[in-house]
Amino acid sequence: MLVTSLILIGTLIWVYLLSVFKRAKLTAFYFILGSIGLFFILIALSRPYGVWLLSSLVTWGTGILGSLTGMFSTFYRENLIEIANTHHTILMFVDYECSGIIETTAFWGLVAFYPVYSRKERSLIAVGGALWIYLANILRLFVVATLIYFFGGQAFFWAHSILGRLFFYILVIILYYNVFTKAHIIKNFAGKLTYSGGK
Amino acid sequence: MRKIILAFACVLSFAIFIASPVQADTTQSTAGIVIDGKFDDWKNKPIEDWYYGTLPWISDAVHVSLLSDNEYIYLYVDMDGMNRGRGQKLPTDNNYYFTIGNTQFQCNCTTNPRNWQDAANFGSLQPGQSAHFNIFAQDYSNPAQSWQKTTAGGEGIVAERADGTQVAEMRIPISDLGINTISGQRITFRNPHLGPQTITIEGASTGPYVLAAGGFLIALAAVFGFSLDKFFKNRVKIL
Repeated sequence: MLVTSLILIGTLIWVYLLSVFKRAKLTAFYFILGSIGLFFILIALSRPYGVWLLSSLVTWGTGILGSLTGMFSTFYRENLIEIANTHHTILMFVDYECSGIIETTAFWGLVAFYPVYSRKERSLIAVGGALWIYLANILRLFVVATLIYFFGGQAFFWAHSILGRLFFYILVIILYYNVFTKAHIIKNFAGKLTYSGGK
Repeated sequence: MRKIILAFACVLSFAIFIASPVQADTTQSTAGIVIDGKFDDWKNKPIEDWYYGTLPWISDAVHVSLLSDNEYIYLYVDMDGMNRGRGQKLPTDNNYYFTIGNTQFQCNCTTNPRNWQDAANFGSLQPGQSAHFNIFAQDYSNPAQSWQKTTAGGEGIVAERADGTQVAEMRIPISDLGINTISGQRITFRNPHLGPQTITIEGASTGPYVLAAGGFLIALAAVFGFSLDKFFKNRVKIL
């Protein structure tokens, strides 16, 4: 109840400040406050159901690749990925920080207040971006699980903390580049965006 | 302004939704596990076959499962199929090793809460009987430390089936091991009397805050770019 009250009070203050920045036409401050505020609100709202849903979906999606290759199995209700070697079993727990919920909500927060796109474009980019992050996360877990399967539990650090993250970071930064930086470049050089069907 | 009111209405609706008195703990891999001696709650959990030798026959395997949440470490051991002269009873010695992060804990089962050295004698159980036991743990990385009894929830149940094989489930509260949180830590279990295998639970964080901050900076750079463009265009018009 205390958390809910805090969310409500925080949201009220956030909305009021947003309206102030909007009226003052302070675009950059409007974007900063809007995206950060929406991110925190979505994060607060995502516990526990959003986290559970995304964790289960990620585990389930990774499990499809696992059953196709036969290298690992998953327990999507428990959010566990089981990679068994001869004498060593690794259970990777797809938890809050692994589910991709933080990246997804951060992306939604940024897109919602990014001052370029129309409402329709925002919606499409939000859905497409979330799907991209979801698939990137599944591929990351697949890469990590495959490396552990072939090189054993001692490869976990390299597979997970170095290679898996690098792989995931590259895929997500490609998304950021296309959605934010490229949009800016196109707007600067072409004078308009081509994302809305070239209109 | 209408957009803001609409967004606020949506957030309010969500807030009311999450305020409903529903308890959910579904993000835990240990959801549904109760130390009650029924063992049916382990059915859909990942259970490993442990065995000695190079030819693993399923009939010779011991079935082991390790799970954890923010409060407890759970262990399940099923001696079913272990029938090649190695006995069918649950080992009650000090060979339950849990490594959490860099610290290794050695655990001991006993049915006598007054004296941990009085190791449990599960061999005297009759088919159909079950027995509760306590768990003691010591920091194995620091042998000078005396055994510490796990208090509040450190408990286990062992049951003997009609065929004489035993099955057990237990849980150890992490707070009794002197650990505040096991979030993001590696947990490994081994017991050389059950097999040479180990089970490790690892988190698989994406390092999300780095990416979220990176995305924010990329978008912010572009937004400031727009603002600067706007500023210079206005300046040209004035000049």
